Formats: sequence, C-alpha cells, structure tokens
Amino acid sequence: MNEPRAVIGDSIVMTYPSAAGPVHVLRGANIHADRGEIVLVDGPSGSGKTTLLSILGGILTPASGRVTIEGTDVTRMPRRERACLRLARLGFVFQGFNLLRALTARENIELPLQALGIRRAERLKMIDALLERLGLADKGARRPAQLSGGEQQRVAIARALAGGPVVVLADEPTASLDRENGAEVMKLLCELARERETSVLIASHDQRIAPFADRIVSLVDGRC
Amino acid sequence: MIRLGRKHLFEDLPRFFASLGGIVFAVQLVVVQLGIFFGFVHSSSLLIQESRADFWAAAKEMQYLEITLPVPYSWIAKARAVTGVAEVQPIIIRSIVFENSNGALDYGRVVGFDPAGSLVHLDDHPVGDLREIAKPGAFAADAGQLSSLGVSGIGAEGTIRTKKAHLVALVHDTQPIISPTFLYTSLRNAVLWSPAMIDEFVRDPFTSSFDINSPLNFVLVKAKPGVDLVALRGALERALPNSRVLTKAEMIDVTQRFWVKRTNVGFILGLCAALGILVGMVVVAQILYTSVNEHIREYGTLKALGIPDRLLYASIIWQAVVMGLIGFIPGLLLGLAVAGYAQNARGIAIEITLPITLEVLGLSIAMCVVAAVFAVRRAMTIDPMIVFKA
Repeated sequence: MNEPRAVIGDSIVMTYPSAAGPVHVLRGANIHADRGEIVLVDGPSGSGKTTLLSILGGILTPASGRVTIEGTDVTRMPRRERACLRLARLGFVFQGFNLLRALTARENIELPLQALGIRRAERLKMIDALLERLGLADKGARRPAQLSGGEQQRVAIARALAGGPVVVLADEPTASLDRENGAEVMKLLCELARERETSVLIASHDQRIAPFADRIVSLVDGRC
Repeated sequence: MIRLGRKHLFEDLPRFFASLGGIVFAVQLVVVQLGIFFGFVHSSSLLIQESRADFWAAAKEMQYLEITLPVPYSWIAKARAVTGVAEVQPIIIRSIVFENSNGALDYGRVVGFDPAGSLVHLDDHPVGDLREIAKPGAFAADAGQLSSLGVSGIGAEGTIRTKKAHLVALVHDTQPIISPTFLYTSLRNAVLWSPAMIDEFVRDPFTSSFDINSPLNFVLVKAKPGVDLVALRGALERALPNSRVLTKAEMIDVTQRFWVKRTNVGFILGLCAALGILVGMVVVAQILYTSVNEHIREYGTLKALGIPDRLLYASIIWQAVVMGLIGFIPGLLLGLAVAGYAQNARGIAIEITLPITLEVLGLSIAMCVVAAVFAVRRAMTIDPMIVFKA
C-alpha cells in the first residue's frame, strides 16, 4: 500500500470580502508534495501564494476544497485540533523570521519541543544537534537582536524542523536576506529537509530559489 | 511558556515598576482598611472580651454594650440565688460630659463597676493604682484618651455634672475606637455622676412596682467551676424575667455585629478598599494589555506554530500572579508602616493579623489575575495570519 502524500491541496477556493465586492484569491488551486520533496510555489506578488500556504497550514479555512496532511483532512478539523496538528506535523518559516525577541536562539528552538512535551534532556540534545548542523553551535545563547538576518533565519529553520514535521511551509524565506545569505539558508533548509524526509513548500517569487526545488508550481489567476 | 512570561514581565523594568506601584497602592489600602475595620470591630467589645464573666444579663431590649435599658437592683440578689452562680457584679454604663480644668468639654461614657470584684478586668499593668477608683470622684481612663479629655495625666481634675472628678489611673487597649471616652469608676461614683433619669424607670416584674432609681445596665455572672453552663443560663433566664442572658462570646458578637450592621463604617471602609483594588486592577490590566499588544506578533507566531492557547494564556496569568506576589510585599510593609503611625500618633488600633495578611495576599493575586483577563481576551483575538505580513 502506498504511503499517503505528505500534503495535498485539492480544489482550494478562497474568497475575501472587500468594499468593491468579493475578491477571488484562489479559484480551485491543486497542489501536493511527497515526503522529502521540495516544491516551489511560484507566482507574482498578490497571486495568493501566502493565502495558499496559510490554508495548507490550517491557519485559514478555505471557502471550499480540501487539505490533507498525510491523509488527514485538515479542513474539517476544529480550530484546536488544527493547532495540535500544526505543532506536531508542520513547521513554518516566515519572511520576517518571527523569532521571539526576549528568548535566546536556543530557547526559540525549544518552544515547540516543550509544547510537544519532549523531556528536557532530549530537547537539549535535539537543539544542540540542530544548532551544530546549522552552523550556530556557538550562538545558541544569543538573542535574535544579536544575530544577523541569515543567522536568524537559520534559527527559524531549526525551530521549524525541531519537532520533526511532515511538511515545512516557508513563506518568502529569502526575501529579507541578501543573495549570499539567501542561498545559504535555502541550501541548509533543503539539505535538512531531505535528510529528514520532510516536504518543503516554498511560496516565493524569488527565482534564485528555483534551483533548490524538485518541482515548481506556478500559481496564476488563483489556480495551480 | 513560563520562561516567556518571565522575560516579558521583566524586559521593561520601568513598566514593571509602574505596575508594582499600582499593586502596592492597592495592597496597602486594602491592608489598612481591613486593619482599621477589624481593629474597630475588635475594639468595640474590648470591655466584654477582657471581662471574666460567663454571662452578661441585660434588659431584653439591649442592642449592644452601649445601648440598653436599666435593669432592677433586685437582679443582683436574684442572680446570686441561682444555684451554680459563683459571683455576680453589676455594671453601669452611662453617658456623661466631662469638663476639664480649662473648661473644655468631652463626651464620655462612665463605666461603673466594683473595683474590688474580679469580673471586670481592665489591665494587668495599669499606670497608677486601679483600686483607687473606689475613692469619691476618682476615675481611670485609657492612656490613649488623654488628649480627648484634654488632660495631661494622672492627677488631672475635671467636673462631671458639677461634681469633681480626678484621674487616678491609666489603662491600655480598653477604648473602643468610635465610642466616646470611657471613664472607669466605682458604682457609687457612676451613680453620682449619672443618676437614672426620671424616664428611665424600670418595672420590677416581681413586685410590679416601679424602681425609678435603678442605674444598672448589666449584671455579670460567673459560674462555679464544673457547672453546666447551658442549664445555668436557663436558670438565670427564669430568675431574671424580661432579660437577655448572653454568654460572653454572644455579647461580643452582638456588640460587634451592631457596629458592623447598624453603622456604615464597614461599608465605608469596604468601599475604600474596593476603590484601592479597582485602581490596582486598572493599572495591572493596562500594563498586561499593553504588554500583549507590544508582543502581538510574537503571540501570533506562537499561535501559528500551534502552541496551545492555554499555554499562551498561562504565560499571561503567570505574569499577573508574579506581579501580585511581588507587589504584595512592599504593599504590606507600607500598610504596616501606616498602621504603626496611626497607633503611635492617634492611638488608633489597626489590626493587621496573619489571617488578614493571608487574605490580602490572596486578594492581591486575585486582583492581578482578574486584571489579566483583559490581556488574555486580547491574546485570544490575535489572528495568526499576521505572521505572514512581513
């Protein structure tokens, strides 16, 4: 029996109300990713990439269509269950890094592990391994403000991967980084994801990301 | 999440201290108001608390220690005749006006009793000799009431109803906060200073005659050791018709309840304490709400990551509890300082006991937790979608 796909977005429709009438952002978008696959969702600004990612991540509920994570239908889940699913099976990387500024790099990575109930000794081992792998072994005690943009995004990647997710959803992960740091961050994200057989869906219009992707999906007129 | 709460709480120290200021203000206000309230209530019944009587017999119309009708002299003999009674002593409590040697007046209550008896007890360590109040015109007063009487100390003279009165002894911790100055003296002096008015006649139920000269207000009864007090009380009630025979504890309760229920003092003090709590709550609520607003993106990130809401709310509640705990200590110390000042400067007893302290600690924490509800509600409304906006 075949393993279910890591993530499937089937006929996703999303409409926002506006003063000028409803805005149809997604008009039946179809997307999927298998375990360990890196998929780039390409499209111009305002094409609905972030909305699609939010729906795949169970943050937004589509007007119609279905999202499954490893065969589990996310769209029909109550809000609290969706949050549990995000914590256990999804990881997020944001354009603005979104690290908690009062916490150190190590503590930021520890947050989801702690919420998952992983024991402290095990948590620390996992964090050390990730920091080492991401070249941040000596920067675990630093706060985000004491790290460069590239380092912050690497900490965010560590946080996204720490809990062993099925899928990482990355929204414009290189948009706040220069070319060199952007490439470094993408290289590390894709390497780690492949090592762990984690799918990565990247929403970006940055063409420099294309070489890292196994597959590119274009989102045009709300469809892909 | 506790770690996050801790870091949010202490990352902006001026804001943290501002919130502490609100809590300290609220706590000290509550401590002092409660202390005044309990001190006031406690002080209203000091004479009863210190007495060594098992029962206080009074007219059935008696409202509390200072509002009652006279009772017949015959009660003394009737009470003594009851089996199981060891000692009986009457008390006279009457209103008087004391005029000091400078002509200044003070409203007072003369408390007349037998200084040779053992049922009325004022002070183990009085200043001067309490037995001297048996002498004509002699009286004792609470040391904290000298300024009210306008006298300097023992030996001071004054006039009560044109008769000479002089201070022979000072006692401590006997004066109700709100009552007129108590002047402790012998029954004879009390009768001389405040004879029963013509309208204070008492119908003696046994002789059916009117005793227009009875100035007695209470008859204190001490039981013999080992006597069944319930049975004795019944016997006293039968022997003294139209009486209220109360145990010492009941008499204390009646007096304290009178002040709590029949006056607005409890309400006023409670109102002040409530206002203090309200101010503290507003300060804490504002600080926590602002903190959540400042970290709105972080809370949104945590929600997007799937961190359970209860953990986010717990971090806010944790901050509130810690603020309540930390703010309580200086608030209590300030309250104790105010109580000390009130006691030394004005002789006002503000009772800050361990139970009151624990109650205020609980109140302080509860106040902060309730205040945190607004911040929690704000956190509940945060849309995790905000994290996708760079």
